[in-house]
Amino acid sequence: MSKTQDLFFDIFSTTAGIPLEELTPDATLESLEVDSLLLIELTVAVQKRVGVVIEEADLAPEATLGEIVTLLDKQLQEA
Amino acid sequence: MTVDHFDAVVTGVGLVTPAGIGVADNIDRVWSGVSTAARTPALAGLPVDFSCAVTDFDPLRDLGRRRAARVDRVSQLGMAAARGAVADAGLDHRTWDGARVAVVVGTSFGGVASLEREHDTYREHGHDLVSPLLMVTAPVNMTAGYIAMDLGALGPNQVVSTACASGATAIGYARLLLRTGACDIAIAGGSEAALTPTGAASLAKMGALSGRRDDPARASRPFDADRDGFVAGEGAGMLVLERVEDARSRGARVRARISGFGASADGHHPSAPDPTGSGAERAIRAALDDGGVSPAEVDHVNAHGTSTPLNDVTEAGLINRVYGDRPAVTSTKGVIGHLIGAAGAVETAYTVLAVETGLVPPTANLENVDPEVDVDVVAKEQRKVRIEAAVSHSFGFGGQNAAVLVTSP
Repeated sequence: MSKTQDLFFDIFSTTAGIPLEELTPDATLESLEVDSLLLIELTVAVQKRVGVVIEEADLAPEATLGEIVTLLDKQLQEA
Repeated sequence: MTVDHFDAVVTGVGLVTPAGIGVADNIDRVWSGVSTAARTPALAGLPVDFSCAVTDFDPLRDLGRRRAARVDRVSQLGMAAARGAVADAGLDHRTWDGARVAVVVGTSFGGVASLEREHDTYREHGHDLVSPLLMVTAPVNMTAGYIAMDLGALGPNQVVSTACASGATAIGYARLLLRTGACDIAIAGGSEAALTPTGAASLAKMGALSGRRDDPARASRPFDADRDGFVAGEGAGMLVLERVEDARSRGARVRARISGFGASADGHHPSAPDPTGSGAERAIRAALDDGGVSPAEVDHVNAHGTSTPLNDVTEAGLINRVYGDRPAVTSTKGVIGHLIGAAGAVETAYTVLAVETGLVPPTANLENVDPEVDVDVVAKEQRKVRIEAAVSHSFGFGGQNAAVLVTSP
């Protein structure tokens, strides 16, 4: 598991209230019942923790956690 | 004007208080008269750095992460108490007709801790990092809303806010909803979680809090000659109320009846009680009239009894004037402190349990009764009293008063 995945899963777990052990890279936001409010909260939480802004547009319901980790990883490298 | 008599029966009690979680833990602690006040880490460095906090509640463990995350503590406490009350009533929310279940919650400060936290975020980091959830964590209505989501209680869903009388007011209004047929089951009570440094600083500054920093456990001492203010607390108390016939037809255990409710305003001062006690007296007499009980029939009073110099002497005079010296008076704030918007609900719950058990809990720390207090205050240990009728008093800042009449089943 990459450092970025550890980081994002930790943020996701804390923000969504879903235990870490229930999070897998292939889980989609839809399958985790992430609603619109939680999406915004997630982007704020990521920004607060690492200073990187993930656009809500990149967080479609069918997006997987693994895809978001890849996106975050890329942004962290560019930052 | 007279109206037909109406009793709502109490079939469930849920408590999440500084004295513990659930009826048994609360009876153990409150009826033994041992104060829960202690130094509170969140208040470190303040002129008053102690409170009565709920310490054995783990929202993630007790409610589950999905329910507890992203929810202010005031709603976490309220949800836990509501779940407790429903379980105590032997009801199953998965099978009930949710549209017939009302929720009425009293709170004074709502999600003030969330508001303060996000205000800090705004000041420190700017608007970009302010949580979008603030609008669903801080508002006072949300506790009732979260209880509806948690338990599928889809009937009338309301929050009332009458400062320290909020919890009692909620129970009074829930009884009216049952009376009018707007619901068949009501979950009613109060929740408060306002032990924030800002709130504590303000209360200390206005001189409302006890300054007994060297001995917090002896700080809340209602009716005692050496009292010097109240101890702020947090917690939640909820009752399940039903109509008599509905409870009977499902074979529910009835702990006690809510037989009357009265409310009034002092219209006198933002924080001080009207020294004549006339506003509070009207609320009490209205509750007695509502239940068709005469003052002389009241066996027990759970006083507002804040432990402030002004309240306790004014209230004692009022008790003496209304009831005479007959009722066994207690203030459970000696043990749990002042739960502000939840106080009236938790204390009504304790009144229900006193009626049910025939045991009046003692007023903690009452060592020397104030010479100006000429009523029978239960001190040192619980007292066995046959209780047919009891009244719980709640008087709030703003001069808002409520009284709940509890009678035996």
